[in-house]
Amino acid sequence: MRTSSVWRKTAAAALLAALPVAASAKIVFTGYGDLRYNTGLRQEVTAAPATAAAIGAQTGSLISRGFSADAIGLFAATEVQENLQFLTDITFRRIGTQVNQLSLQYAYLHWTPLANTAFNAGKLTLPFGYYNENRFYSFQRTTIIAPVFASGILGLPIADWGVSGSQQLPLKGVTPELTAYVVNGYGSVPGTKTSMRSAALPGGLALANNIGATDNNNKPSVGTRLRLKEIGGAPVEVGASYYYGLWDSSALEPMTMVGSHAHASAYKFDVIAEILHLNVRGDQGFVRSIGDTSWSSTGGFVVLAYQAPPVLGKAITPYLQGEYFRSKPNNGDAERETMRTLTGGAMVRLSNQVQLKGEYLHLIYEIPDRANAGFLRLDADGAFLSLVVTF
Amino acid sequence: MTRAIGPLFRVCLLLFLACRAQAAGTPTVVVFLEQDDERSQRIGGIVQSRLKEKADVRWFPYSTENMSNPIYRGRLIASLSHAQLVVAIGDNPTGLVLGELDETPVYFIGVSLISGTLMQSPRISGLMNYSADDVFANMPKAWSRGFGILYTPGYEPVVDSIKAAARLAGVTIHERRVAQRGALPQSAESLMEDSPAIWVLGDPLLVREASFEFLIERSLAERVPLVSPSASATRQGAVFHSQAKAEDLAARASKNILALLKTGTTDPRPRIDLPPSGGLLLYHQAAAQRFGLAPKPPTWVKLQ
Repeated sequence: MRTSSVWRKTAAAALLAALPVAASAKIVFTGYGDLRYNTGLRQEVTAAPATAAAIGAQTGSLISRGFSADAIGLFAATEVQENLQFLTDITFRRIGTQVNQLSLQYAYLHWTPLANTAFNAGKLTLPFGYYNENRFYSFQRTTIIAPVFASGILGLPIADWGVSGSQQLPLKGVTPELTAYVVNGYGSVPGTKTSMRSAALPGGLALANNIGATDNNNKPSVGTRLRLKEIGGAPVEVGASYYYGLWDSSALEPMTMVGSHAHASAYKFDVIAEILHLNVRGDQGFVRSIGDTSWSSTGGFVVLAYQAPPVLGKAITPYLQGEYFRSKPNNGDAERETMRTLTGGAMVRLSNQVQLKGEYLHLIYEIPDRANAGFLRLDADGAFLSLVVTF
Repeated sequence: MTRAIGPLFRVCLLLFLACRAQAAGTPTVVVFLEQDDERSQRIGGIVQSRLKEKADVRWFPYSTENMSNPIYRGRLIASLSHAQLVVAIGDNPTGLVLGELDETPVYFIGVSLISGTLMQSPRISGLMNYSADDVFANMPKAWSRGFGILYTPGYEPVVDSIKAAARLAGVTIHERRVAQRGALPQSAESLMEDSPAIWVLGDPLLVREASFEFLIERSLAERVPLVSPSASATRQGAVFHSQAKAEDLAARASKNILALLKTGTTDPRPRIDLPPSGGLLLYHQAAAQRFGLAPKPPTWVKLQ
């Protein structure tokens, strides 16, 4: 009894020691706006009649043009106590007379108990690859349009509720960093239990909608990333990422993502390259398109930018971005979903807070319709202007 | 063994509480400086080494690229506002913290260009980059009678320090306070009538764009050389500016900061200090020739 009393007192003392020192916290608001002008996007949809009917697509040619606010985002940061920050991003999209889309991009506690150790808890941007954390926002990148498969299908930023921990080890000539996380994970298409992607449902081809407010099954998803940063003391980084989770409501079917990335910034060039392999089993939704409940996507993108000599005192950065992704059934059949994009443009930094961008996009997207022995193809070409303001 | 746990536990508890008291009493000082500026890094390193036993010192870098990222800037300002004291080294970091932090005490080091309005708060103290002792010891003797000072509201502590140095050096001072841009022409011209040379203190209202172009133009017309606060202003046509030695700045700043931490107030005397002599006067060769001034090495060094 005496021993248990001592242990209780010891536990109480440890709790006392762990209590934070009181501190006042100031909330800092910053933000950005991405205003766009579509100078004329031509979209040509070609599909077999049965496919068009099943998907609800309108075939033919369509031209769209006009101004829009792609996003207006508000960031809030506060230091709750030393080495503990709360960070959040609220983004407004599809703004007309009302805001039709309001997203909590991230909201998490960031704790750095030691100089090279960090923990995050909340809705966190997944530490997968490089682009997701470092180039998602328009003010972080030179391009107007992010790689389409990553942003439109996978859903950038990939952010989910959970916890993560990372440890850096600064060495001479390189800094390895290992990150591990546990999150709710991707689930099924909203309103279904066994569909990961479904061309028959509006928005059902995009995985972005599959991350919900809660876990749709009783199994969390896990992931890890190992990267080597500051290679040779330069802004050069390579890394590999892995994600695994059971996505369906019965928690029987796995989804894995494996990726690798490289980023280098030297001699006025900046290049990012990412490769992704996505493997899904048991998808009753995409089988209608791809012909198998088990399918995989493989592809990647490259972004190359160059800091040209300034013109009239303004920094100009021309760039090229290329992307190719292919999804196929794991049973060896010939069906293929493909996404190919090529964009080129230039960014002018008018001031520290204002960027002006102009870009041309060429996109080809094809998806089979195995159920109707059909197909759908989207060809799109267009030019965009974007004004990005940070405040 | 079990009997020893009780007293051992009491010792541990006392140690825990003592550590908590120590942690609560150790002030957090953030050093905020230009990421790629070697001089700022040297100053910061000396300051950190002198403070490390009295404070928990953390470093944050400033770069133009990082500051244009609103996520980074927000997180940085949140961290800075949590510190007990922010030590800002250089013009850009100082300008940012003075503009963004409402309540956190700030001590700046090595500043040449700063708005006088931002310096008026009693929680702001610091050490300028230029030395009045160096200017008075090395300027032409003919400038000693009626040497002019042109300044803006907020610079009164700096002017007081300059006048104190002037008394020791046997220099008489004429001063003009410019409250707003519209008053600049009249103030400058009346000062040029009275003074053989004018020291323009580094408020952007006086040294940026059209204002300083006007002063340079009048300086040439009236044959009244200008002493500038910074390299950029010297390059525009002032004769020279003073730059204190980094080590001297760091030593004087460390002393002031330790006094600040000890007294817990933001009011050391003087609140805005000037560094001691021992630095350089960096001169504009063409301007010096124009006014017939002979550089005096080793203190006078040509500005590259």
